[in-house]
Amino acid sequence: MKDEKIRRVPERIEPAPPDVLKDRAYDPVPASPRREVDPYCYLGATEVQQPLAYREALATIRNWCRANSLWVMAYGTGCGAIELRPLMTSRFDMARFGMAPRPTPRQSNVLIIGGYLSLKTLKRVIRAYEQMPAPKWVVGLGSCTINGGMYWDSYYTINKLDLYLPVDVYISGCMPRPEALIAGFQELMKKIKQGEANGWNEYLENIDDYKINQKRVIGDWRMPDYNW
Amino acid sequence: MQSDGWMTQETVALSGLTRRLEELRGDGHVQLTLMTVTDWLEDGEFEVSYILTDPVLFRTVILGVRIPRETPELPTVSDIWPQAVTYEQEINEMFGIRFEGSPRQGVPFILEGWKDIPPMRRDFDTLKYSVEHYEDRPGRRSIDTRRFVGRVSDEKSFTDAWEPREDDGRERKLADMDGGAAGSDRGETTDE
Repeated sequence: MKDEKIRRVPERIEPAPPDVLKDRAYDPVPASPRREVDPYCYLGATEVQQPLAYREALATIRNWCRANSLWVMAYGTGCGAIELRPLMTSRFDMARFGMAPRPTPRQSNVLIIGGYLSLKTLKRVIRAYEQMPAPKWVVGLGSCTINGGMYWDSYYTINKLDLYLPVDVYISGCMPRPEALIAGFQELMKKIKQGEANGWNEYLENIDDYKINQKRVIGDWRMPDYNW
Repeated sequence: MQSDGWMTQETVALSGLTRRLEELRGDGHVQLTLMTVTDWLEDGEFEVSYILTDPVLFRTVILGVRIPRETPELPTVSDIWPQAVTYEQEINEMFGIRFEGSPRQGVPFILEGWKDIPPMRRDFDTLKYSVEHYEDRPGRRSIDTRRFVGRVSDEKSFTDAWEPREDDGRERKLADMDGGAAGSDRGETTDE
């Protein structure tokens, strides 16, 4: 009975490594579902298809740039945000990875869910996530985001974050130490460099399923829907 | 009335509540520190406690008033202490007690869009609500710390107790609440 109400977001399937020489349809720059051409990477956004090697090199450079410039939205949802503060200090120094804390979603592209999410907070988190500009990633921090953690039987906290937002990297622990956070961010940077962290594209492709899941738990939905 | 020198606990009937609060306020207990509720489910009553503090003589009075669960209504004290509005709003949301004359009654404080009975009542089953509304990730296991009692000196039995069992934490908790699995666990640990 419970499973009928839930719209399943498709599981992330690891793509097979492309055979570049044989598979001519292989595209290293996956097209966004709403915007066919990325004008910042297709110089001039011309109709002419560039050669494959050229596009591959461009994608490599673009992903390298993105991975080394993660701007984190400083939005602590639970107790896990306590472990984010040392990252910004001189001991752990997240600035050496090119990461910077930002106060608003319009200026950031990494959203860290720092712990449990009550429904009241989930509503604000969804709103903040949809306000972030396009190359954006979600990091689930702590076991509360993975399976509910110590709040698994609470009446007002969700148990699985990836039903409602596309999570790129989970960091387990209750709470994870700053060293674990650094390892998680390096994992995220590795995935971005390999072009695998496409959570925001999956969010757009499965927007209807995500919206159904979100509206199922949030009682009074008084927000505009995602419309860009 | 109980007293241990600086903290006094007393109970008052509903009819004399406002008069007693004003008496205490005139006596020097000018600060409303906390309003809290106890749910006496077996007696069919709520007990609303007003914790008042005298900041000069450092005295504290815990004034309790019992009201029936069927008609949970109380006069507001927000005309005496304005900060009581927030306490009364939260108590109204979490326990369903209505404070007559208090503003913001029925306005959501934390629970936005809540449709069930007030969740801090003891007859509200939070685990059942969580099972029905939020999906659990399969594969979750729990290790009951009661299995470690008395076993830490023996290395082998310690590692045995550490082995996770093939059951879900959620079902285990459900069985625990029924009194099923709890007995067997306690039996194991007292064997030694």
